[in-house]
Amino acid sequence: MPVITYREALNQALAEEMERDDAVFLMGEEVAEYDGAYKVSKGLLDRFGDRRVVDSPISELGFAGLGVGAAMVGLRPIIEFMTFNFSILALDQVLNSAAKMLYMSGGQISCPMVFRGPTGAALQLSAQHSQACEIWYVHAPGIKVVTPATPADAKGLLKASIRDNDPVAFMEGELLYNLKGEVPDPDDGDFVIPLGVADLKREGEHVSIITHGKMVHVALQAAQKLEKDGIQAEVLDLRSLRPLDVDAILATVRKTNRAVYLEEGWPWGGVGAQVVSILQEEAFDHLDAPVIRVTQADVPMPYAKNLEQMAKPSADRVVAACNRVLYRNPRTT
Amino acid sequence: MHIFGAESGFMGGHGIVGAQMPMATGMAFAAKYRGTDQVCVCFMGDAAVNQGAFLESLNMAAIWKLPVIFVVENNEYGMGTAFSRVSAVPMIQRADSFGVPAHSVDAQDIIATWSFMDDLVKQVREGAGPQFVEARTYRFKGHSMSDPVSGTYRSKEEVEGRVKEQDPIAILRDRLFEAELLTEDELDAMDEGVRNVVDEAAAFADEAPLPDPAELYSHVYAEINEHGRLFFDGREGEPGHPEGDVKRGES
Repeated sequence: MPVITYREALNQALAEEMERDDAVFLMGEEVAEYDGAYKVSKGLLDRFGDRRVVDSPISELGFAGLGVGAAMVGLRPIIEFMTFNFSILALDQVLNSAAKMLYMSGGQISCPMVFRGPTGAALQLSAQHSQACEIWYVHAPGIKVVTPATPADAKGLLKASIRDNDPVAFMEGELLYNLKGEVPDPDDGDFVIPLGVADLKREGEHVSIITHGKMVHVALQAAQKLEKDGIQAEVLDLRSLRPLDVDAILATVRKTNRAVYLEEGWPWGGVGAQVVSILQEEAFDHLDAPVIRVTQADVPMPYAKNLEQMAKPSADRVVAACNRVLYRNPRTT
Repeated sequence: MHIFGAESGFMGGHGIVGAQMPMATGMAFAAKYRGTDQVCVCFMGDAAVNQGAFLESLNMAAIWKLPVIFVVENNEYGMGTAFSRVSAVPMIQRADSFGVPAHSVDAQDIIATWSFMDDLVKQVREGAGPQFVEARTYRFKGHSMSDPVSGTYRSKEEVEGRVKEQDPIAILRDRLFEAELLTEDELDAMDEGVRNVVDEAAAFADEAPLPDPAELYSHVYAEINEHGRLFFDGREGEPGHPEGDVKRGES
């Protein structure tokens, strides 16, 4: 199977879907002539022309709303945010327009569209460029939220998101764009991963680390460290937050009886808070310990290198959380 | 607001001031994208021009020469705030910096407004690009059902004077009488006919049943995915509940 980067996988998905359906177009800041701020749209302008690959002014509210209007009359816009941090300017159009249009219109008008771009922190970009935005989107009924962690997931889930008939927030990771992984050859057929199916990224029997997006890789690092200490951790990647694969969450906890939720965002009302709520309602009798969350520190992201490292969730913090739910004192390493 | 008639191209009354403008720009973008000769006409009140969405939309419509007409119904008040208090320049100047042609029309004159818009839509259909129209009017009633006609922000005398001189229906009536295109009797018959239509519509609305409770979860999503859970309230018998009927949300 070919090994390509997360960036190339997204590019393949965009190109294949634009090739398949003329109603699909890409709009955002620097997506065309500059080839994309993170080069995700590299080559698409040459291939599809400026009718379908459109550089926008820096007007997040405006071009997000333009996408909503185009979707309302049947196009399938892909609206790229340079990062989801900037999408906060566009939230009125996402939450008040896109997410509510079908309901308010009594089923007359849907918004089949994708809002995509990186979410979360990179390295020392400070408070306004480092936010994990998924909770602000997943909170609202009417929108779907997808968070791919690997090149294969990025491709298969983006294709499914573009074909979905609802607005989808597709949240990538700036630090993932260079990540390499196996992705099925385009010549071997259409590679689409349905929304709402979690993926067991690692099997284990002692504790479940449930997570999504970029944090999958932190969870896998933690699982490696735990393995050296004789602990087999299971890593469940939710892949999409709405729809949410509740069956997979319940299955891993019924198996290990202990869980840690790991996410990049803040704790208050976070994704983990919802998962903990589901677990206590639907798997209470299977839990041998309270579920613990590992999140970003409850502060704006600091700029200083040492403070930023302290604020971000780390593999060591996940290891410590796993040891807590296992009621064990770890061997000092 | 919150009424839609997609079949006739009426794409909504939207509840957030100014939010309709980016959407209208998108509909005009779609018309150009598909190469149709459609024109999108986007209505707003005078207060909407102070939203960022107005400026962003005018700019995008201008750079891409989109077939959209932004019509501001300038009735001089945004709720209780006079436009002159929240804009340093007159309405007609608000589109200047985008290079969008601006027009001002006396909207109390129905015939003048109709023929002006008829001509403008033809021009836009032929590729004239976005246009900005100030339709000068006046609010005869309060801002909402609970708002008095006059109040702390405008006098009774002001409202009465404008109603007397600028009622668009009275202006049209007088012109039709003058041109001998309408008689008193014909007008009375028209009034009666319209009153009946309104009464019947009101009776229909009053008598219509409330929605089936099963509709609560309808049309939240256009597509209920085969896998995963979409609703999270978890009430027994509802889609969010583990035993609930998730498919109920399907439209």
